[in-house]
Amino acid sequence: MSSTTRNFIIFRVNDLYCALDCIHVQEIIRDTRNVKPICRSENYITGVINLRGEIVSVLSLRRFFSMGLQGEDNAIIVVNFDGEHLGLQISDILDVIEHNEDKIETCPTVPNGLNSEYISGVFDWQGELVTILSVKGIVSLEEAGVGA
Amino acid sequence: MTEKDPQKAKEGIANHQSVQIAGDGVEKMSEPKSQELVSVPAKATPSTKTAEPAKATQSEVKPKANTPVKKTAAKSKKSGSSENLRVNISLLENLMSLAGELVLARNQLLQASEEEELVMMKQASQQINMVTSQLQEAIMKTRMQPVGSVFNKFHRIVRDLCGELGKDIELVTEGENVEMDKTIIESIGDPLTHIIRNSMDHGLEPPDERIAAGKNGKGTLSIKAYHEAGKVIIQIDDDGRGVNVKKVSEKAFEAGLVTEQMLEKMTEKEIVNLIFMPGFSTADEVTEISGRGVGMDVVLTNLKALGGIVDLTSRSGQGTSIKISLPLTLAIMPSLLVSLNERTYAVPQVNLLQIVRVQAEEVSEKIQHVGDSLVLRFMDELIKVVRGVDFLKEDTEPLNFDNPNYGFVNPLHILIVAAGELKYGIVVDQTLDSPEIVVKPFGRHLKPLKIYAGATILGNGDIAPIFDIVGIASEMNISQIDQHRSESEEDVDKNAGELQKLLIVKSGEVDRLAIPLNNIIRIERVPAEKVRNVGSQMTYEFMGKSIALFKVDEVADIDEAKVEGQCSIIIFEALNRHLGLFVNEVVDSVEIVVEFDETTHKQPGIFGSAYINDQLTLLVDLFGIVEAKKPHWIQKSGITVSENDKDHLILVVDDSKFFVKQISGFLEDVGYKTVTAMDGEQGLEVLRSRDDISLVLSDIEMPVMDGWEFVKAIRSDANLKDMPVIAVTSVAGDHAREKGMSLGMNEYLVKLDKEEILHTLKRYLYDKVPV
Repeated sequence: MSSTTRNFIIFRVNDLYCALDCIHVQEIIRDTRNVKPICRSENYITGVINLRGEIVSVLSLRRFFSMGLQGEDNAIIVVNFDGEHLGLQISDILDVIEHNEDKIETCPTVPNGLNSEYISGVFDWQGELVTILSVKGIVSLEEAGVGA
Repeated sequence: MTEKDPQKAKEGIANHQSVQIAGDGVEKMSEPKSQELVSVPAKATPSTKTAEPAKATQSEVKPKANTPVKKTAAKSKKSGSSENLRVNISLLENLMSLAGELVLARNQLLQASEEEELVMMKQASQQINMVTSQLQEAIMKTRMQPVGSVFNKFHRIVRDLCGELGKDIELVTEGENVEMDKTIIESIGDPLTHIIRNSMDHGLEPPDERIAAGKNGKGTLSIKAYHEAGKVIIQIDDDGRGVNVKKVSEKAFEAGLVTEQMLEKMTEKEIVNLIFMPGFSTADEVTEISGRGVGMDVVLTNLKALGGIVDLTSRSGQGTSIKISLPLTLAIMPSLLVSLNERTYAVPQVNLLQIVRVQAEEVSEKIQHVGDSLVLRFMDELIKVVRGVDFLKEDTEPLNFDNPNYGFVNPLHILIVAAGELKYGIVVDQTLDSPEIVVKPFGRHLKPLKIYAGATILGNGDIAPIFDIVGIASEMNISQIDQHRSESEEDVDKNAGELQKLLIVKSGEVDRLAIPLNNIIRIERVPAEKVRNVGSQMTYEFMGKSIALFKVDEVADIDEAKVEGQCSIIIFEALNRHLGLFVNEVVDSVEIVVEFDETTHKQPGIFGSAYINDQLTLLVDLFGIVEAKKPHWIQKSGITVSENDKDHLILVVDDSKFFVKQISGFLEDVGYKTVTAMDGEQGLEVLRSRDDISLVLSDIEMPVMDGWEFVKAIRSDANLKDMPVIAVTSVAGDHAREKGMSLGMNEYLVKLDKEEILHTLKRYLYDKVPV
């Protein structure tokens, strides 16, 4: 069977296994100390970072998905969507894999109560259910009416 | 490589040259470059020498230099020569030296890591850190270009079009040095060209039409760029015929852009702005220059894409003004850094008026509270003050209103900020540096935060959010009456009437006096020793000059103001000089509607009296005081009326008896004759029934027929249309003034400013033979 494969970065947000298409991932920042909090921002925005002169907002996926106040935010994945950058703070990066597109399922139900705007599919990885996050949904959440 | 083989060295230079030129655009090479323009090749060679590691042999250098030549040359063929960048030579030199520094630091780092020297390594990395941020900043600066480069080509366009259209138009440009980001500069060229072509085709008339309309045959088109409230403004004015409102509404209706009902509800300004709708064109015929129906909407879209705002105002017969405000994004601007709860924020200096430091023990004296907001007395003005922590919603102690210091323990740093008419204070913890910053926008997740205009990166790589002064004001519900006024034209008309801005002062022990605020230049609070007596004349030193000082009790029968202790000097201008009025204390400034009693207390130096805040207050006639004390000054000043002018009859129209009496009173004092009317309609009747009136002085806000209608009626009456009409009102807002002038008022003056009114009258009546 000939089918295309896609590269995914697999990471953990608290107990949730998530993946992002590597096409959208620009870089990973392991040092989260330089995130500067911004007063009055939504609580899921942990702050901004100076990414080689560009000011990039950093969003904690844990808080964004309302997965509790406790938890680690150990790394930042900087995603690039149509030239717009956004940092996603996550608990841990697990792996980068190549995955067959055929094996990705669109998810009929929304796991963990996540808004379907932010999910583009699920697949199985080492026995764990991995949720593919939609970069578009997260980057442009303002249009989805989430931003205030 | 230079000494041994000069031929090769030359080649090397030549190669470098072509590298640079390829990137720099082909056409530039042949032209001799101006001083300012970088002559890259000459500079490039020495620096490449430093940049090249010492190890590099000659043979290594050459191919290195050769390969990029081909690549860039090939590239430049594709992209054409549009990718040019003019860079200031000093900036480039700075870049060069920074590049050199960077190489030095790299060598240091390499050496340190080889020798495993931790201290040296730390030093080197620090060095690299600093150099890179400087380098980055310098490169950012190369993007800043003067807007003049865009303006320059307009001269030619205007000249060419003049020929085509048979018009005589002069282009005036201003503010060519205002710098904007290269991308913005590049994208504004086309929209601006379009606006200019439009102005020239539709707005400015041919010479004969202009002369017929009583204008200079040569039309003027002016483009200026300037900074305002943290934005770059480009303003295009012409003195043409203005936008034809009727035609615009007809065309818009024909094109199906609006319905009749919509048109009815729209204001003139809204209708004029219909020209920005897609598919709109007023030109009856499509010409080479404009009228294809793709036009202003594209201009608007393009400018909006840059984050700009376009504002069009048009005055029929007098011209059109288009104001484009472009965002400060990427613009370099001076700022002040402040700290709040140990975080750094930047405040644009354009918004910053002053920094005031108030000692904790002085707080109760200088800062009052109204409800739950703080008010600072600053230069005898009351300014609302907010705490930075309040709009940042940080967890802090709420203000303690029972405590005289409101719970402040440290000295307060208050930034007095202003944006347009808004003015307020922000309490910050500390003021730090004042660097020039490059504004960077926030990502979309932070855009909704109105209190920030973006953020900047500081020298140490740290991020400082930039306060948006207007955003903070709206967040904290700070607004001013003036602001509301400019928002709605209707409101202007209603408020412009009898609202008086008065300063309430105390002279002597008992008497309260009110002074019209617009007469006052400045108020100084000083100890009585500062007042000197020269003979019988009191003087005071103001701006290095000795000015004459008066007391109201010198001319009027009121309680004597004793020159002792702390006192206030009110500086005003009359007869082209600064004069001072001595009072004991400034009590308040009010903006109220008052009805004056012009008889009971009328005396020299006093206009009349009123009850302000339930207390009897005397309204001071500053000019009257000067008149009584120094009659010879008045004579010299030329305000007095010559025998010739005495026969002039002046119509005074005002619904307030006080002002009618007031104005006709002082007109008659100097020798004019007056007739009066209580509103516009009566005024018209008088004007039509007699033909001996030389000039009209009219209030704006009146019942039955207001000043606007009145002047319109006069201008449309064939017999009266040349009658000089001077508006006199209590408040002179620029907005109302503009409206007045556009409707045909000759002048727009402030009531109670006797001197100005008399001067103006004289100007209009001069040479005019009494009828």
